[in-house]
Amino acid sequence: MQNLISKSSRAVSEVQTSETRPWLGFGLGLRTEHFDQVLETRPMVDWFEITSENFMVQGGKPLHYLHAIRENYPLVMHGVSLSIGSMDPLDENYLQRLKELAHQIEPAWVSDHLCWTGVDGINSHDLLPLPYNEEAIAHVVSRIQQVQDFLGREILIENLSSYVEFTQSQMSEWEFVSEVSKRSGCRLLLDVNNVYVSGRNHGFEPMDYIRGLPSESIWQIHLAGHSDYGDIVIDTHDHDIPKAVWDLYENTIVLHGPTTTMIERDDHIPPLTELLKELDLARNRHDMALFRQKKA
Amino acid sequence: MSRALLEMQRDFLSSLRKQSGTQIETALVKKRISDAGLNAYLHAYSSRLSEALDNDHPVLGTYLGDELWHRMTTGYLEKHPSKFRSLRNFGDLLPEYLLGSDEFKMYPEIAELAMLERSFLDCFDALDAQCVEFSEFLKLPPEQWASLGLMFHPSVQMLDQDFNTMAIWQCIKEQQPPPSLVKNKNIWLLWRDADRITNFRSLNSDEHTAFSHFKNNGNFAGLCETLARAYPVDSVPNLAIGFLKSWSEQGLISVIIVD
Repeated sequence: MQNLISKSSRAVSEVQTSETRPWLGFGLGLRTEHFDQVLETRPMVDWFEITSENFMVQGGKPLHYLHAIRENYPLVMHGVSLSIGSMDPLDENYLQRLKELAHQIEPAWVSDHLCWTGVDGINSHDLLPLPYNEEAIAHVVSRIQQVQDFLGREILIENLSSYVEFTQSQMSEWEFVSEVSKRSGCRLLLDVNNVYVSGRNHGFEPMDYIRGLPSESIWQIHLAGHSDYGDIVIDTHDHDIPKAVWDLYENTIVLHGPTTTMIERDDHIPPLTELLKELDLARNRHDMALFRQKKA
Repeated sequence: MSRALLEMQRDFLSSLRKQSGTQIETALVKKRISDAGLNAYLHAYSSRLSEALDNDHPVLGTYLGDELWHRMTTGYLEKHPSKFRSLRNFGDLLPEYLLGSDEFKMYPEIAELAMLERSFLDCFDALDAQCVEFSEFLKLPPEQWASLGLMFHPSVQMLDQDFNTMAIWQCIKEQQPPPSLVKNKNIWLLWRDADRITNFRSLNSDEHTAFSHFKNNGNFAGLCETLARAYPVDSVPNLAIGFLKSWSEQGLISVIIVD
């Protein structure tokens, strides 16, 4: 097993993960609001996830803080612009800059989303869903392989939350995600909140989705909150994690075993101390899941 | 391959840009939550891009007020859909848009304010570089001075403004009422210092001449010749060296170029 923890609340030896899945522990999304506090107080966070694009700049404060934080914490890079499902050619300039950033900060891994963000050179800056069919699988798999070859590493691909379903879809989302992972060799970043949100929007049972994924491919979990408008649930990442998502997370760990986990908060960023408390809840839920797994 | 996927993406993006889901909702999207679902994407498209402008241009937003700001962002989004990977660059063409827009070009300070805020952004995340101390100049042998050139810190920018836009920007930044618009030609120097704080100050005519001279790959001897047209010859070296001293003390110079 790959031991990537430098400052963990829990030794890697205490957590029995699959031989093929690295264990980073419990992390947070690194946000500018917390830069100084992270450097001054060295909070008990095992690792941080950065939004890659925020640091694909030439210099100045963002990179200064990033390098200072990297000296004390493992990092993973999480992108929003790869647009792996777009029909446009892959952006070589973007990939080169991504590779350069990875070279600088040596992240444990690099991830992005199973989506498209634009076409014909126009970027919506949104994570847009694909139809779940053979055509889309072939397209995405070939592009993931190109990206992995270029970066010289496996990437992680994250499931989306979505608000529409396409008539062209011929399979469930989890079948689509699993097949993309299996054929391309990419790993999965499982966003449990996204599964819950899409389940509510499209009327499927979230645990059917979770059960449909291959355990060995799930290298990381995202936890987040959402906004519930009754007829539609939106993945806003601006609330505490609700009970339904915590329950789904615990059941995911029971089913798939110990998995590196992080809390992703993108808006209405609370004080770091609040996020640390929420991260402790994740540790507790993870422990409880392992206890339930042993008992079963 | 995948004509269907391409057409779907074109139709979907076109709907986002037109802010109307009618083009795709019947042909491509299942009915279960399609209205609410499509509306979520339509809303996200316009709000995400206008938020990016809002984050980059807080002073311009205050100066325009909600209604004009909304008209500006809607017009910009329509004319310049994002062709950038990062939202950081989405507003790069905003000054150009404002200069060409029938509605906004009659208020030239608006484009100047947009340009000023974009220049501050460029300063903020420009490439890092070492700065040269003035003592490095004093180590140069006399024969190297004539050909001496400079490379400025990558964050350094010159900004030419025709109105009292900087005063308007400063007042709004300090939550004070802005002054009335007056014609006031100024050249501003913007740069990021060693503490990564963005600074600005105006350049007088001589300093502007000297700065532009080095920026355009001129050398020390050439600068002295230029200054000698306006000042007594004996005073010129001191005047030119004075610029080098103040620029190096402010962290503006990254490299001394010598033959």
